Amino acid sequence: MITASNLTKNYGAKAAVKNINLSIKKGELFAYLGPNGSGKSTTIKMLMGLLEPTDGTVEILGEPMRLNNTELKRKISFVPDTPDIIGKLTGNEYLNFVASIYKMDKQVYKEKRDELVSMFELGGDLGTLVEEYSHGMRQKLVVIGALMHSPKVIFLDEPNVGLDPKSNRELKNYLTEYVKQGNTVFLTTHTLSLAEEIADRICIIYKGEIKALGTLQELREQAGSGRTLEDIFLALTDGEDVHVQEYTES
Amino acid sequence: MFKSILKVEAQSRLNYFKALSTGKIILYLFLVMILLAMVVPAVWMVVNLFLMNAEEMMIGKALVLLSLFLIAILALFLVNGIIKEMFMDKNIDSYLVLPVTPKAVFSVKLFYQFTLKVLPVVLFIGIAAGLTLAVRYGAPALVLSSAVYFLFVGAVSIAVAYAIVFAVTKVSSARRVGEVLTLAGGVAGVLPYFIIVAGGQYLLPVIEMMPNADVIFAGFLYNPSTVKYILLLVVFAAVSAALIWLVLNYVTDAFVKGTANTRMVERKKTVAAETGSPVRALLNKDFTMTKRDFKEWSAVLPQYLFPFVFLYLLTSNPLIYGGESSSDDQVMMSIAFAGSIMISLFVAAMNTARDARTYAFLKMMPVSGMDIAKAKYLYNFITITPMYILITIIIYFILDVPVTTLIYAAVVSVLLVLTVAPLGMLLGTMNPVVSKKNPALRLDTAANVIISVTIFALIFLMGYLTQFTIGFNGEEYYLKHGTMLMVIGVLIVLSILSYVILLRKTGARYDEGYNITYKD
Repeated sequence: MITASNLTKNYGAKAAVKNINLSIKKGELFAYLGPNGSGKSTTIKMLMGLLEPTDGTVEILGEPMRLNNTELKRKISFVPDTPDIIGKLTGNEYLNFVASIYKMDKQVYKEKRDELVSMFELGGDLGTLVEEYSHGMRQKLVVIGALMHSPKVIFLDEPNVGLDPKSNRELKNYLTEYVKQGNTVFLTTHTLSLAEEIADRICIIYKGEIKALGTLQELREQAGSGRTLEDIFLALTDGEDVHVQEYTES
Repeated sequence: MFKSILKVEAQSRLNYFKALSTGKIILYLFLVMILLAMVVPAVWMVVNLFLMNAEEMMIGKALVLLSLFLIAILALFLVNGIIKEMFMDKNIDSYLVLPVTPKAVFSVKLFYQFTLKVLPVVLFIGIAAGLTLAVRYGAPALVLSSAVYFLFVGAVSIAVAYAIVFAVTKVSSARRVGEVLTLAGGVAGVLPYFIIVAGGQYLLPVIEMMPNADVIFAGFLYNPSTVKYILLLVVFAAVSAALIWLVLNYVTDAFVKGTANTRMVERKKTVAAETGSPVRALLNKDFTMTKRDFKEWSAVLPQYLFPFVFLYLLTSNPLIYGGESSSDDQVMMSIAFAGSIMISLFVAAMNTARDARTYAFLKMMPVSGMDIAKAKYLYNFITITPMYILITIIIYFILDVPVTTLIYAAVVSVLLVLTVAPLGMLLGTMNPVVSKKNPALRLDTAANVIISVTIFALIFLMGYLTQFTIGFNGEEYYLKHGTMLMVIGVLIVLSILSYVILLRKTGARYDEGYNITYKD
């Protein structure tokens, strides 16, 4: 579903992402973790085609990812880390806009919109201008816009920032069910418990390089018994000695 | 406490000037020089001449007009600053979380608003008027009474400004009020021209219409009488202090209790699920954003005043107009050519550069660059054409031309919009600028220079061609229909070529991605 080969991004002399190789399968919920500035957002933007890699290739659903490949983009979705959406539209106008761009059938759109809006409890605010929304409400709106056309692959860059506990729980359950239906989720988050709870595989990136990759069980086994994901994460990103195989995928 | 906040505020203002680019510093210095060299002496001269020579009854009326004018201008000027500083910047919140009293914070804010924005103006006018009247009546004390009176005018301006702010933020959001004021500021840019052209001749009748204020002013501001002078000096000083005290208490109370921030949340009734084609969705998005964003209006509306500037220049300058080689037909056609080229190039570039703000969002969407370009082309055509046809009709009523000329001018304008707008759109994707503080700043210097040079070249070319569309039969000027039809034919071909070549290039720019400069 998602394949990245030798993905590299340099900003001048500084390497933001170094030679990353990933292969994420259909029906997998993949958590991509790392401290601030480790290269998570850069990777996700390159995977989405929003940022041109210095080197390497990206394939999604078997096709090379390019900015002008609109047919492929119609099958995927992205929730950015900052929900910068057009403030002068109401929540409903924003969703209508997204549905039109994704060429959704009106009836299907209405049903999906109503389901998601009710799930995130945004119904009463759909007529309000987005610029009046709080950060959490914007985040909910962007998530609804990203999910309602039922993409086969969805990229979420820290989607739970600003979400209230109930919405967080709903999103977690929705994503778990979503991957069971054969869809793929690529998720970055700082909430390690979320990754622990729902991810099929976890990748830890630090200073642009993959430090560990595997299932939670595999990471724990390699790190030694009794170690939590937080212990492993902090050890890998603090330079502490930890017995986790640093790179497990070619 | 008061002193520390005063110091921080002073430092932040100083830092603002330190951080300015050299270009802006030069611009500000230039404006200050104009102000000192032209505006200040001009105002001094007008006040001096009028108050020295006018009849005594007219002095009172003129002072009423001057006071009302100052209150209106200062209040509007202050409202914009108050909205930005106290409602939108969240600056107040950061102070209020510190261990300082709210009154200390608002005292500092009020102090700076008064000393920086009001005091220089009212003190200058007060001294200008006071000195003149002191000389006229041989009473130096009139300088003091005039200064105190105009300080009172300043205090009223502050009170009126806060009253406007609290009233309007109850019916609309602070952001919307800020946008409306930005629009007002943009349109007010033409006011100086209006005042220069028409101001002088209407000033006297307006002064005569003012109420006679002798009851208050005589004995205090002119023709002094000791008892009234002392009494009113104390009254005006006391009322000014009381007004400032009231404003300070009201503002502090409103912010502390939260009543200042209980604004209206704009809510639309319809939340119907609607879908359409991507081009239609993009077009609707642009219309909605324009309809609701007054800053957008302020960025493009002043451009539509240029045809009238052309009309003024062409009909008021005997070197350009009035000779044997000119006619109203030629003026009309020249404005149709020059105005539509200038407007469509600038407005299309500005409308396209606006997308830079939402470009990252558009890039994520499964929409082709060509669809974005097509939607923008339609948006430009739908918004520019009716405006320009309306302008053409207004000019038709001003000039003495047959209806045929109006039709030709309208057709030529429409075709020029179709031809030139794609070029403007292409230029709008050349390194656009995003500035939250100054939404009108969308094109970088290079694009501005290219657009200006292109406009001059096209206007020169079109001006040259216009002379071939007008004939002279020995008695009067006439439009050459054959030539006009040929021009229209050429423009139809050019508009098609422009659509095919330039619009595709713009679409490709959206697909490939373009550089955006973020100013703040």
